[in-house]
Amino acid sequence: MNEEARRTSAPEDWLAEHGDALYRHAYFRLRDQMAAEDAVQETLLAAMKARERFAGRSSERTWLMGILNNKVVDAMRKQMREQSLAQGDLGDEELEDLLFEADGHWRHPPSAWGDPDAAFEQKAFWQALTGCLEELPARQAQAFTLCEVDGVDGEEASKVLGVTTTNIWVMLHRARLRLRECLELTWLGNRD
Amino acid sequence: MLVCKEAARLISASYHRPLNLGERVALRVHLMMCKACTNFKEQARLLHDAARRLNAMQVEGPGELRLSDGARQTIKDALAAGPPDKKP
Repeated sequence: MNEEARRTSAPEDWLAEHGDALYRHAYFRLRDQMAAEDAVQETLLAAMKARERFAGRSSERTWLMGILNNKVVDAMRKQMREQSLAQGDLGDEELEDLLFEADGHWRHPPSAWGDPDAAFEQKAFWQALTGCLEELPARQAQAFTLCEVDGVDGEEASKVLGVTTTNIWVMLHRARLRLRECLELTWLGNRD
Repeated sequence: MLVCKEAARLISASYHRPLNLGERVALRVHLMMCKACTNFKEQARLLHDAARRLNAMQVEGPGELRLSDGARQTIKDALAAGPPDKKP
């Protein structure tokens, strides 16, 4: 067995071992089944080509994710050009009016969620969170995933998504409002 | 006087820019009186921390999203054919 073969498993096995994880990663960012499938395919083909360059410093999964991230950003730019997802934060303008009374008070005041570490231990929390992320409007979800999950800065995110940084901040705020509302409903089951 | 809607905006804003003195004071006074916004502040923090962990987890465990059988087959065929410029 040569060096290289020990470092990575056979390309045929990548799909079985990492396919679903890659797909989920792409889907959460692209919000489009076809685009996510294409990104996975392009990633595995690129990985096949670049196999000799895999240094073995990271895990195979991490290496593939790194390639996938580039493919995802390319696909996001394409979405932006084709405007295949609703632009900016249009369509969610009324969110604050739904969540706050006319006098600026919360319609459903946020409750105490308790110890974050205890929440992070719960499988139900992560299930609820990923479910709530899926329910966000597409562009909001992309902004949240890029900035909060991937740690991309606002300026970079604004370039990828083709909106102003101010737009990004507005989308992030709306995403937080929606996520907390959704988690209270689905994770904590609060709501009379 | 800050209302909850504005307090919530400031809490979000604090994740991408430092609040100025006036904002910090107004928010602190509001939070002293408002349990709901104090909870929101903690929830925003929890969401922020959870998002980072989600990255480390690479959305593995809980997600039920899977590649469809059709897509899996298409990709398998593409891999078998190899990269366009390097046929096996």
